Amino acid sequence: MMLDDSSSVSDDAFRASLADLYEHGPCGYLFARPDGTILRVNQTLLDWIDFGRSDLVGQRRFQDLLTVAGKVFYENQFFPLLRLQGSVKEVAFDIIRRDREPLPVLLNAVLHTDEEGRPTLIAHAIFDASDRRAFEQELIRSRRSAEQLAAVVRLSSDAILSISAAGIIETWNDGAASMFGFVEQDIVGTNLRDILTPSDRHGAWPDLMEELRAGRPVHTEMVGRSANGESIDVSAGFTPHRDLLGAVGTVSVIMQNIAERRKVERLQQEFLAVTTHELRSPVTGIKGNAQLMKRRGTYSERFADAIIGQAQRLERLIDDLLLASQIQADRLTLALEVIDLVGAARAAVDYLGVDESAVRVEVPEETLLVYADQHRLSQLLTNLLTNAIKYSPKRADVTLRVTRQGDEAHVSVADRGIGIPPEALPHLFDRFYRVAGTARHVQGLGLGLYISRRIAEAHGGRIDVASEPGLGSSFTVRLPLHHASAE
Amino acid sequence: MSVLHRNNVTVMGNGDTPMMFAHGYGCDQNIWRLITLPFIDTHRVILFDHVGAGQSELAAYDRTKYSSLQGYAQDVLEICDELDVKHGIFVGHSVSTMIGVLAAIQEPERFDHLVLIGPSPYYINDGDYVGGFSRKDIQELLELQDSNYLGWSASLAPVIMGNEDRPELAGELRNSFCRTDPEIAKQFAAVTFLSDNRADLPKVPVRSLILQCREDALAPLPVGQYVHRHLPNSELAVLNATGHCPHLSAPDETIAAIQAFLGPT
Repeated sequence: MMLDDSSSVSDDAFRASLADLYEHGPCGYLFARPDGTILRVNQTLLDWIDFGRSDLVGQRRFQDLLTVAGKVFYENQFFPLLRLQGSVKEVAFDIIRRDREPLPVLLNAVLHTDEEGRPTLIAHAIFDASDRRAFEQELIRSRRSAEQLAAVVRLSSDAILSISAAGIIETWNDGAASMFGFVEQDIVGTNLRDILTPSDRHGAWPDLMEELRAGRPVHTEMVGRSANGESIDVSAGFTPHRDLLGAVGTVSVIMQNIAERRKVERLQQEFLAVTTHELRSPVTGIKGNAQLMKRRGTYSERFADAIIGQAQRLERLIDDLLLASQIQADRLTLALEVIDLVGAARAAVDYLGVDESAVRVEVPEETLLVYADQHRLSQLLTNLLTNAIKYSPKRADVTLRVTRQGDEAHVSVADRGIGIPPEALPHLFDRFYRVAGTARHVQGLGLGLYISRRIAEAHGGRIDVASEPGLGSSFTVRLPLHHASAE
Repeated sequence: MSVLHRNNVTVMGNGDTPMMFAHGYGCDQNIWRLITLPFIDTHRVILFDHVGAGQSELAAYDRTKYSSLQGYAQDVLEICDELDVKHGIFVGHSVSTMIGVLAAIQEPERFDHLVLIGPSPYYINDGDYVGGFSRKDIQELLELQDSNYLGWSASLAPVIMGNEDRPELAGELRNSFCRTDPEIAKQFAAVTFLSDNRADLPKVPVRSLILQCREDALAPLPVGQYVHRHLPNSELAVLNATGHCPHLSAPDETIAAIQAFLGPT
């Protein structure tokens, strides 16, 4: 069977339809000379940019319809391409409408040439690309923000990873790599359970996975195992993500190393225990002596002295605590004056009330002047002397020596006590540090040397220690001499 | 990596005098196709692609080196060294005019003549100086580049990606030559349009020809006149041609102007 004979439609009808299509079709047409001068333009384009035909034809060049940037791009890139390729497709431009608003378009062009290859005509087909440009902008924006987000995740010092619902590691950031010591390519594809276990009081993997599969986020503390076998305390947050069908597909995991926090917690607990113990014993002493005196019904010099002694000890403990908190908050203030260090050293020994044979004092004939806070300086010296006496089994062999060394005055306190283990030396001046093994039989908050160091430093000096286990220790404070005595 | 491979250097012609052509921003050595022919009989024609453009070695692209035109000038001199170019002719278009200026100052013995097509020492208006553009225009231009490369990569990336092992696809690429890596194009555009070489012009020790189109959106007539005033030994030829690429739009006129400048060979 034959379909309708198309010859029954006249050529004129086709031509009219074609002309209509040219004028009113869904894209703009523009013909121009090789230099851009506009020769013909269709109605669609005129409507888009709100110009009349006579505004353009013979009056303007195509590139004059473009933005400044577009014109440069046209001359610099579009035209060379067209000239060398003969045609160019889908290049983005903005055409400036009569109201100066830009119309985003995609430009296609074909260059016609004569027999000798000389350009004669450029035919432009122009598509409205407003929607596409909007999508592109959106795409650029979302790509940029995705890149930013990816960079934030990648470079975070927290471990950020994702696992499948079965626990298989799918992504692994730099933070995870440095926390665990495994690089991404080695760890992806393995099960997170191999390197991470819930810590004792925080449930077990099956419970955890059940929660996640139910779509509930889990926040818990866990213990990780690093590449070199060390355990790492972490706090871990698991967030399950549901897919379109509602099943949990991926779980994102963020972990923080809480070793530091744990250490601080342990220190705080220890500190509380020690402080309570230290504060309780003088209170017990005061209470006991007062009760004895009351029971006897008569005043006793001995009991009163004991009560005062214990109260003074309590006072010193509280002073130390206050001072340490001031130092910690950077609020240590000094009342500086010119002081004779030799006199101050003697006074410190006297203050302790120990007999001459307990502390040997070696001082120079001259006075050594330093610019110092009298009260803090005596606190420093008393701390060192108390320590030396405390750690010496026989109260016999403590030496206090004051010397001048160039521009400095040195005060050293040496004992022949138990000494300090080498591994303890670097931490000796840390806050709340108490040498392991000595806690039982020796009193103290672990604040004395910390305070001493900070006092020495606040005076522009420093404090050092030399020690040999079994032979004794020697602490040396170096203070700058006041210039009057440094002359 | 050899310099000649790095810059995709092409040498042709029968003459002795070296004549080096340097393309501008946005294209490659193909842009000289319409004007090299008459010089092939009389000169040793040297064509090349700047690193990052055309068929140059993309792996040689170094963001630090090419963050100024000096890096490109260094490449020109390295090619000269490799091909033993002395007393030659340098033909540069657009940004390559300033690359030629820098090269000529550094090693004056390489070129006796510079032909500068559409030169601009600085594109941005600055006080009394008319460069033709505001900073905002240049910013928009850089964004337009971005937009075209995004459009390009969005629709063509899959084709181009597969291109290496499927060379038969090369013919299907749209706008395929003069294409380059978008990130490189972006930096080259910034270097091109933000470089200020005004202070270099008076230092050029060799003779030069400024080929200025009657109307040029990138390098308008006052810019050509500025270059002419500040280049010590220069001639200014204003062409009847319009646009920024007379070597494409009016090759015959361009050839004639260059030949007139060089004199009989």
